[in-house]
Amino acid sequence: MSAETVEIDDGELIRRSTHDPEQFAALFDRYAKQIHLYAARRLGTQAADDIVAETFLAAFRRRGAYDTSFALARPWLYGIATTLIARHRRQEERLLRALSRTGVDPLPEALADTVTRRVTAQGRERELAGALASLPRGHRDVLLLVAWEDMSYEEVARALDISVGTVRSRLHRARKTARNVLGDEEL
Amino acid sequence: MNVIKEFRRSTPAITDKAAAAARARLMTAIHEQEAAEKPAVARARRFGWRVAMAAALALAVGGTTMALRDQPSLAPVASVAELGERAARAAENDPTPAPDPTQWFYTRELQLTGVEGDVDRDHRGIWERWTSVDGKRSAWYQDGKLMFQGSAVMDPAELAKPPVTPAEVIARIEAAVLDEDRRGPQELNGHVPPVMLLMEITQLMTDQWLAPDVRAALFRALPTIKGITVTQDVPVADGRRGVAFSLTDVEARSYLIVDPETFRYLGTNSTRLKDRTYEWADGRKETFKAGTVGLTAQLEATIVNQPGQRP
Repeated sequence: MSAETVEIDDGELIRRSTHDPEQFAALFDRYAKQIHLYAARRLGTQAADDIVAETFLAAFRRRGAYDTSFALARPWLYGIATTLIARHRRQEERLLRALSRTGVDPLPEALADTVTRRVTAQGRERELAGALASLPRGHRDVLLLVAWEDMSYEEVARALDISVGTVRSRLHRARKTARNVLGDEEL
Repeated sequence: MNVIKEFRRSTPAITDKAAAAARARLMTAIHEQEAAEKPAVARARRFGWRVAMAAALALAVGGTTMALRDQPSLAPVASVAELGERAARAAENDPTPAPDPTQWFYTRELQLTGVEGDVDRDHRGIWERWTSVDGKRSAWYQDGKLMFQGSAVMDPAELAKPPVTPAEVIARIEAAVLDEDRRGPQELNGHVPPVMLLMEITQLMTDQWLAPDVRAALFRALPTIKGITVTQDVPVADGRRGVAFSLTDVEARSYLIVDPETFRYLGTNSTRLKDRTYEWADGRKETFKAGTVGLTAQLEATIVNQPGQRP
């Protein structure tokens, strides 16, 4: 008889963490890196350091409300991170506009990368930054979760607590805005 | 989407330092939560879900112990010391060859919860578990899938280190419990209550493969635990009856029962004597009523080659 080895899914981990809180640490190990990268792409690494810590603290406190029938907690965690990112909306847009205007991304980065990375952005990148800055926040959230994180519409809906229909319409409009600046072939 | 996908793609990954800091913040919150819980819940964490039930029934925290005095006149085992000694000798003389460290210890247990006179009123279930002989992993089926958990109750290599004496095995178990308490609830104040020791030993005997000398030392250690006495003719979950190491305190009466002839481990029997409400990590409260009974019976305990395999 062969044994099937299965890693415990996120839902089960969260369920167990109700009585055994330490189990929750495994979620951090699974997702902290990617959530940090997502936040850092939007707000820079320094802000992302805080956001990733706050995301898991908030998730841990709210874990009782998690529907453990969902095996993957990724959308839920991204939803929390996105809410935290929203607090920095003005900062995010300011950074994007600066990039759009100057061609230099002011996003704070790790010191070693600073010199090599701060080359002048290509024209398209500047235009995209301007387009992203002009999007309503909810549209930007949908667009970036789909484009950067490869989330399905259902996952985005769960992350942002909106309907799949709303995801579709926001994505459609966000793409349209981006298409207007970048040209049809880009999207 | 390519332009968007590429946008700020070279953003550096989280630094080890930032990741460690964020994780430390989470762990602090986790440990604060654990520290806020009752010790019984912390114990449950150590032993897996099933103990939530058994522990709550059997475990009394702190308090003094008082001995049971219900020895019948024609007791085949006259004292708890004799019971310990005879069970220890039976363990030492067990002809079963030692398993390979890569093998697994399979146990199947019947568990009941209810009240006296209706012992399976609330729950009746079979609990199967595989624990690696080296004690590093344990596994069980859940929804048809084999789930794995980290280490077993105690490191068997640590327990088997010479000298294997009753005092030494107790000291090692106490050290493990206190170490966990230091990292968790911090409520034991350096003292492991007798009922907790009884529970730890029961867990070891139930779930883990133990070298014959370790098992023997545990049996000899039981009579040295304050308050433990012998009780005749105590039933386990499947109706068999045996002779028990028993411990009664203000909160619960707990029995670790062995066969009256072979002195092999049969199961447990515990009764709550006082209502106790536990508050779980999520704030949910659960009250275990006085008179609640929990019974187990070990139906099978054998060595298999891999987890998930039944004999």
